[in-house]
Amino acid sequence: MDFKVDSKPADWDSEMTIVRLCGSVDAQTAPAFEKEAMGLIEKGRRKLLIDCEKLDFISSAGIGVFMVLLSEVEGDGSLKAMNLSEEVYESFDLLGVPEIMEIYKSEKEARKASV
Amino acid sequence: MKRKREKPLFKRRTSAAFEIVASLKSLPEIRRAILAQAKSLGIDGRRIYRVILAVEEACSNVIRHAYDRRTTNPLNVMIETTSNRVHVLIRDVGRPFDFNEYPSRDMVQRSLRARARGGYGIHLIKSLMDRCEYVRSDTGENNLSLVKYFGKPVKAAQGRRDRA
Repeated sequence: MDFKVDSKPADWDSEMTIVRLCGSVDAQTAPAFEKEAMGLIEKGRRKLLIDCEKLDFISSAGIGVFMVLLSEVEGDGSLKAMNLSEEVYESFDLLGVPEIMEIYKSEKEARKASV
Repeated sequence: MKRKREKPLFKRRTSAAFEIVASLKSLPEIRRAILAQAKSLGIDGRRIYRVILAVEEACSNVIRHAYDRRTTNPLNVMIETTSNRVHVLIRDVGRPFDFNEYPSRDMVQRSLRARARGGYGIHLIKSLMDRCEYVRSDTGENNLSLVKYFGKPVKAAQGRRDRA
């Protein structure tokens, strides 16, 4: 599946932006993900929820983008993720990401946690 | 007399060897090749995902670090899959890199800023594969051999020292 990234405001939180990843985030495509998310942060959208439902592969380059974004929004923003497949979650887990980033099984769970 | 059950002479096995352009654009091609072999032997997606990720990390390191993104150099990948094992051999002629000496990182202990600088590839490869062996040949080739077993788990990253 070709890589795509887009974003939309969450309909349940006006400050939250959902960034949807589709396809594979590898060393080739990770810069496009970073550009999209950094663009949002520069516009003041500092609460991001990354939707991984259609993400079928992520390498360390892609996970590195999550780390960059986490350090960017540290203090006055947030970065969370949802809908990770078991394979993608395992990659995050091997790098200790669940220790520092909130990960939700579904949008319903993410929404519940933000209230 | 009870007849002894004969073992099959050959294990089910597929193999492929190819030279790819040493470019990040080639990474999907490598992923597809490993997946296709695994599917033909009925290996499930989750198991093969770990191999795909490790090989991706290794090839990405060659392209970005051993070759400094120069695409004119060869990158050879050999994949041999049986129903209980995948063996991948990655060969390049770039800058030597002592995979065995590279320390595993304690990700949990790293600060956010340190994590943002990256450098997780080798850690992932060592975590995902059962055997990792790097050899720098006398003729200037880097050979990285990665093995994943699907039967009895053998969890030990092993390696020989650089022979150069």
